[in-house]
Amino acid sequence: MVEVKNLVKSYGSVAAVKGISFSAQQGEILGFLGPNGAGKTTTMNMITGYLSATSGSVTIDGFDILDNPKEARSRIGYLPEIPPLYLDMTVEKYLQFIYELKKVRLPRKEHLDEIMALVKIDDIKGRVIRNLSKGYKQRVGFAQALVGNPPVLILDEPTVGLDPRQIIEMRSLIKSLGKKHTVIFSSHVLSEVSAICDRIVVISNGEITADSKTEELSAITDDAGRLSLIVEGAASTVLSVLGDVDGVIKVRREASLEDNAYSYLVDYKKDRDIRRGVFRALAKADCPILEMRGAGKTLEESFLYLTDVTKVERVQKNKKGGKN
Amino acid sequence: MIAIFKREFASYFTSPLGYVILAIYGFLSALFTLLFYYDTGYSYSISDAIAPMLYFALFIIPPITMRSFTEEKRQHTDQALLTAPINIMDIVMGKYLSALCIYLMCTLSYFVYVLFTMILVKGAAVEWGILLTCWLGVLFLGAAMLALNLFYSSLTQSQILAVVIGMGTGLFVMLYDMFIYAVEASVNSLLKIDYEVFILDKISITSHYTNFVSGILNPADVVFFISIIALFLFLTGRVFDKKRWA
Repeated sequence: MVEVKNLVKSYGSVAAVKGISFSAQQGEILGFLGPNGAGKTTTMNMITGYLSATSGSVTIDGFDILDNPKEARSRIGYLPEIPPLYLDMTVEKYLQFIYELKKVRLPRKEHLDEIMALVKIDDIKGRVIRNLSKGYKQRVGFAQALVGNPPVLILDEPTVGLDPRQIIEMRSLIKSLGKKHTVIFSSHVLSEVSAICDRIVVISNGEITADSKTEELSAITDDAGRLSLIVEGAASTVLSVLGDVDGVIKVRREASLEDNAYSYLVDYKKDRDIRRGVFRALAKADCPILEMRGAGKTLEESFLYLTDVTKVERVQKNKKGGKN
Repeated sequence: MIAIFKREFASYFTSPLGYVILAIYGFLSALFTLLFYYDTGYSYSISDAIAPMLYFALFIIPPITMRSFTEEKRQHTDQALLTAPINIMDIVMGKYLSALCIYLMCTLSYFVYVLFTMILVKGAAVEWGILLTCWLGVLFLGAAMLALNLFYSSLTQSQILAVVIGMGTGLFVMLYDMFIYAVEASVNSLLKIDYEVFILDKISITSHYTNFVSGILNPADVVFFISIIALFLFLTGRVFDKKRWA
């Protein structure tokens, strides 16, 4: 349905998007995850034909966005980061304008009424857009993307500016739309993406750092376990002793607490239990453990982990390993 | 194109802009008609009332197009237009025609005045031919300047800047003949030659306009104005599309 190949966008010598490739099928919700400035919006603008790509191609349903712009664009509904609203129009007039602009052939009144009911703006259809709250404006923008019932929906951070209840409504709406449409949906909130999407593409610094099913992705971020320790003794000794324990990936000193005692975070391979080894090693070095507990990764940490470029290779290696 | 035309045209009347432009043009054209047509015992032609509108039209036109593209970019609505399944020229033409319609409504005021004269004054002879060429002249002049100003609005995100550049150009257009004359005279005196016709004479908007208001309907003048319109509408489309390729 949507096929993106080696998409590159450079502004002068600065490359905003460096060769992105992925595809999305009908009935799939693809989450586009990445920090601000990673290239999400630029990529979406290129998919919808608002920006041209420096190189690479985008095809929608077999139509190239630059070679067959009319066919390709008529299959896309796009909600940009800032909804493209004419503030001097009423909601209904605005949607009628979009309906005519997109040259939609469906029966006008029924179609627009259906959309307005779907995104719950039918009660404000007579109001001028300028006077609406941000949440309503966002929903009018969403309605605009749905006009013409396009098979592909590109949504750039659709839940920004909504209150928690509206966010939940929006998520369930996107989820229900994803049954029939191809939805590409960007966000920098990991919990949101993992709640809605079937597949997650993580983008960082203009490159894809992960592309996998939602469950697989959480497995990747979970493949390291973590211990939180407070140990008495010289920090350098403790660090070297802990580093030598079998199964430990990384040791980090967090903070100095009491006299001669520090807290440490120890990442270890998930399939090992290193607690006994840690105890024995530190006992041998005469460094008493004052506290030891398991520490899970927060969602934010997982996010940072995924968007950290240095991890790219490791993630890809893991994926290959999993397939073999 | 029709969708954009309708939206643009309606937007002139959801803000005071459309009303203000119509009111100012109506006031000035009425004033000149009074001064140069009614007040002279009908010894003068209507063209005497219409010809001086040149100087005001050049300043009334920039505000008509000042919002056309500047606001699209500022409010990010260009994303809706550029991702819709339509051509760039549909967008440009929709906007241009709606601006032209506002201007057309302004110029129709002359017909109202003439009709009044016919109804109220017994034996008033109306020179329909002169009225028609004058009106065409005003229309073509405005249409060309609208295309130019539409182009300016595509260059910037600031309405003020678009208007200021547009009015500056208006001033230049107005003084162009004098400017060319000065250049011609100084070049001739410097080189001690006697050239009378400069190629620069030929692109004087005012001289082509003067033909119309003198009652001369010359195809060359019509072609001249249509070329200006086509050129600047094309450039506007290019500039609007340029963002995609930046």
